[in-house]
Amino acid sequence: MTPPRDSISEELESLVTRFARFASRIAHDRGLHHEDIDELLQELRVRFWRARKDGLRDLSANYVRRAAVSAALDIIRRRRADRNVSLEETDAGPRPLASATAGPAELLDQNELAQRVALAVDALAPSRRAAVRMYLDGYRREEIAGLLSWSDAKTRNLLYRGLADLRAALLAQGIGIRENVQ
Amino acid sequence: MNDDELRREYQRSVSTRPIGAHPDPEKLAAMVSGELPETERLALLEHVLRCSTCKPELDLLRAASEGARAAERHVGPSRWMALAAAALILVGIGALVLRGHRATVPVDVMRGGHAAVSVIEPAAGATLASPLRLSWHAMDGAQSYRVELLNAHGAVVSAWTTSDTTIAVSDSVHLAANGSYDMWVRAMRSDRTEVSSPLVHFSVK
Repeated sequence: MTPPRDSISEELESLVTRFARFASRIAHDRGLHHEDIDELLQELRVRFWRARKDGLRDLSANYVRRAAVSAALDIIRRRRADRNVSLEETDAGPRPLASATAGPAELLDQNELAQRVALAVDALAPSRRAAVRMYLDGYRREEIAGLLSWSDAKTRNLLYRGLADLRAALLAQGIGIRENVQ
Repeated sequence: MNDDELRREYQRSVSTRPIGAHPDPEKLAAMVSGELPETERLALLEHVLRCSTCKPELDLLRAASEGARAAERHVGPSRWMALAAAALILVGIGALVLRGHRATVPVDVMRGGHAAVSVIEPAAGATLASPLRLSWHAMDGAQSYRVELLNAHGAVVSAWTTSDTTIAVSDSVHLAANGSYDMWVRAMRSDRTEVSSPLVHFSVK
C-alpha cells in the first residue's frame, strides 16, 4: 500500500529525508543495494502515514526508532520467508577460493593461505577476534565500537592487540616474512 | 602481511566457512540496539560476520537504527527558534553573572553541567573560516563526548572522543571550501547511555 504523498506533512518528509541521508551512508559503506534503502524508506513512510491517520500527532524519537527498526525487521522476515535459506546454502556448496586464472600449484597456495589466515583469526581471544573480524571485513573503528558497545579506547586496544596476535601467529607459520630482507 | 593483504585473504576464506543456524532477526535488532550482554553479542557476531545471509541483514538494521538516530535529532524551525531564544536568554544571564564574579573568582564557563548537550560553536547556519573550533556545554553525568563532523552527504569527515568540551580542528582534517557540514556531540554516561545534541549545520568559507 502506497500512501499518497500529500498526506505526509513537510515535517514528516523532512524526517524521512534526514533518515535517508544517514541510512544511505551506511548502506553505501557496507555495499547494500539502493533498493534495500528505498524499500526501508517506503516502509517507514507507510508507518508514519498510518500513525498520523490513527491520530498520533507527535512522532517521538522513540517512535521513530521503533518504526525504523520494525520496518527493517519486516523486510528481513519477508526475505527469509521468500527463500529457503538452509537449502540454498547446502546446495550452493563452497565458493571457489582462488582466482579462476591461477594454475593448480598457485590455486593450492592461495587456498592454503586464505585458510591459514582464517584459522589464525579463529584462534584469537573472543573479544579481540570480534574486533579483528569486523576490521578485516571493512568496518570502521567507530562502527566496531558502536556495534560492540565499546569505548573508542577499548576498541582500539583490542583491535590492535588482535591484529598483532594475528600477525604473530602467521609469522610463526612463516607467513608474512618478506623475502630479500635481512 | 599488511592490512590490505590480510583483508583479502580473510575475505576469500570467509565465503567458504561453515555456518550454523541463522539467529532470529529480533536478536540482530537487539544487538544493534546494544541490548545484549557482551558474551551474547560476541557469539552472535561469530556467526553473522561469516554469514552471507545475516551480514546484509545486520547492516540493514544498522542503517535503520542509525538513520532513525539522525532523524530523531531533527529540530523543526519553530522549535529551533524557541531553543535559540532560550539560549540567548541563558547566555545573557550567564554574561551578567560572569561580569559580577570576574573580579574575584576565575570561572570556567564550559563546566556548567547542563541536563542536555548543546553546541556553542559553531552557531547554527554560520559560515566559518578554518581553523575551526568546536565547543559545547558540559552535561551533568557525562564521562566523555563523542563529536562527529559530517559532510553534506552525511559521511563522517572526522570524529573525536574527548572528556573536554572543546576541540580545535587541525589542518589535517580537510574541509572543502564553500562546503556544507553538520556536527553533533554525543555525551556518553557511565551506564553507557548517551545523550546527543541536535545536528548543527554550518558552512566553511
